[in-house]
Amino acid sequence: MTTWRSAVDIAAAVRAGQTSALAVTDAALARIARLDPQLGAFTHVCTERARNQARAVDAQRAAGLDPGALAGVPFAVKNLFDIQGVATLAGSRINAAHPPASADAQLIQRMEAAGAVLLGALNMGEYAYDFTGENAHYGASRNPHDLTRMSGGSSGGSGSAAAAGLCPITLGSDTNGSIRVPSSLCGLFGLKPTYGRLSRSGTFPFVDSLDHLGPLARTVQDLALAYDAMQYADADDPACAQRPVEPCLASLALGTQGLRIGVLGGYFQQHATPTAQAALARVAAALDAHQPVIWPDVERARAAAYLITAAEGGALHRERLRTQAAEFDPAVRDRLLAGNCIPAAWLIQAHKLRRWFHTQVLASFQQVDVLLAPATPVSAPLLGQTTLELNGQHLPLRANMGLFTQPISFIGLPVVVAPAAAAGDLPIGVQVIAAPWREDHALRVAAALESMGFVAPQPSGLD
Amino acid sequence: MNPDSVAAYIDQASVVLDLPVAEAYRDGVAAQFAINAEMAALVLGLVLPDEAGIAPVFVP
Repeated sequence: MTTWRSAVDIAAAVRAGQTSALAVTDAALARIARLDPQLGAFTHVCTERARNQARAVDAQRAAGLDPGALAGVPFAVKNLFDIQGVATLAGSRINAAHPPASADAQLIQRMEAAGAVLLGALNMGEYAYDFTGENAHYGASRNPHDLTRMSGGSSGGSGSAAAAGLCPITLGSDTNGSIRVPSSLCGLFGLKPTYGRLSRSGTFPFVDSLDHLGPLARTVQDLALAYDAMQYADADDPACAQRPVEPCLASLALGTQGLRIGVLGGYFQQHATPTAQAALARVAAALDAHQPVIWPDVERARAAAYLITAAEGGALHRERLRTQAAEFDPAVRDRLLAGNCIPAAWLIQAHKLRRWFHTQVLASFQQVDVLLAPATPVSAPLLGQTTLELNGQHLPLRANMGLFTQPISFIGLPVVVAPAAAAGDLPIGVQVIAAPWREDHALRVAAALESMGFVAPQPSGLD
Repeated sequence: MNPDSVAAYIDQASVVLDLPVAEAYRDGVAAQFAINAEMAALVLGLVLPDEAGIAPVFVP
């Protein structure tokens, strides 16, 4: 297996009998063994399980049965996904003492039902309260494009593994930007679907009213392939929408045909560094998108997302904070403790603002189908960096890497991040945002960008 | 909100909520709460009608 081979190519080769799922899996496992010590992407590699699943895929094909759209495609999941027989860490030391999960998360089951092969669990920021990919207990997941830099978080291992070619598809979670920030910093395509589109059953939560799951990949086709395989109206997740499967892969060829594309201004321009502005300008120019769209009170919306996160996240961990505070990552613990002290009136106003902002934003989709915005204010910061400079001010990095992603997930809109850096520069992404349930629109625009050269850059120096 | 008020609030909240905040964490927690208070000022600064509903809605 070549390291940069797409999931689409792998599945086609396995289905055609040109290669075996076992050969693909063994090659991926060997690459993980060789490269992961320097990347820190994996916290658990399930070698035997992966080889058994690959053999089962090969046996299906040999028996003349359909091995699935993802036949033999290796994938890995953020370690907040339940993997049967493995303790679900959610990036923490505390959860390492939990009993092993009794079943796989719903999305793992969906991926494997389509023939994919789970390789293991990926590193992440503790309890998903993170934008850096650093972890006090398990070390940082490093950026394959520069190992001294952050992968982004909290799905840091998901970004690191996919960008390094350890597997073509990874799964992550996104509460405030945790799929989109690593996608931007690692030069990947990442999909945060509409809130409620993909089941969260069998995953460790962070902020129930904001948590989403989704894939990261090096091509838009791979992103769509995984997304299509994972759609399922799951009654076990109360937030999961009871919608039919709406496949997107076949629609990618439509490109931007008939789509009206706008560019988010105001807040999104004012807080962007020249690097982020240049990335957005490149994408807007390529798509011939010039219509400016201004959403009202975005800064307040982002503040409301911040408060809901702190309050709900704090409440989730209250008992652990009472009895095991010293076991937390210090960068996470203080924020969770402070979140427990938020008065109810602040939280309720934040939820009211959520509904109000949602109404205002939906109106903008009368004029456009898709909106473009920066994904991160900067490209990958150095590991250990604690501040970033915005408009001449040095601001806390952890609180501000999600400036552009938080207002979007706050109201649950589907977003695809597309790589948009200039050749030779560190990766940085742009958000392609669509109306609720129109993942197809965001994916089509991302596919059009990919066809124009906005591709996932291959890291140099790893091999 | 001045720093002394935040520290005093955290101390009292810790008692009322039965959520111990160790001395070593006290300054860090107060700093994070001060950020929460800045965010709350923005959120509370938007006047919404009494009828404004909250999200999410519980669906039985």
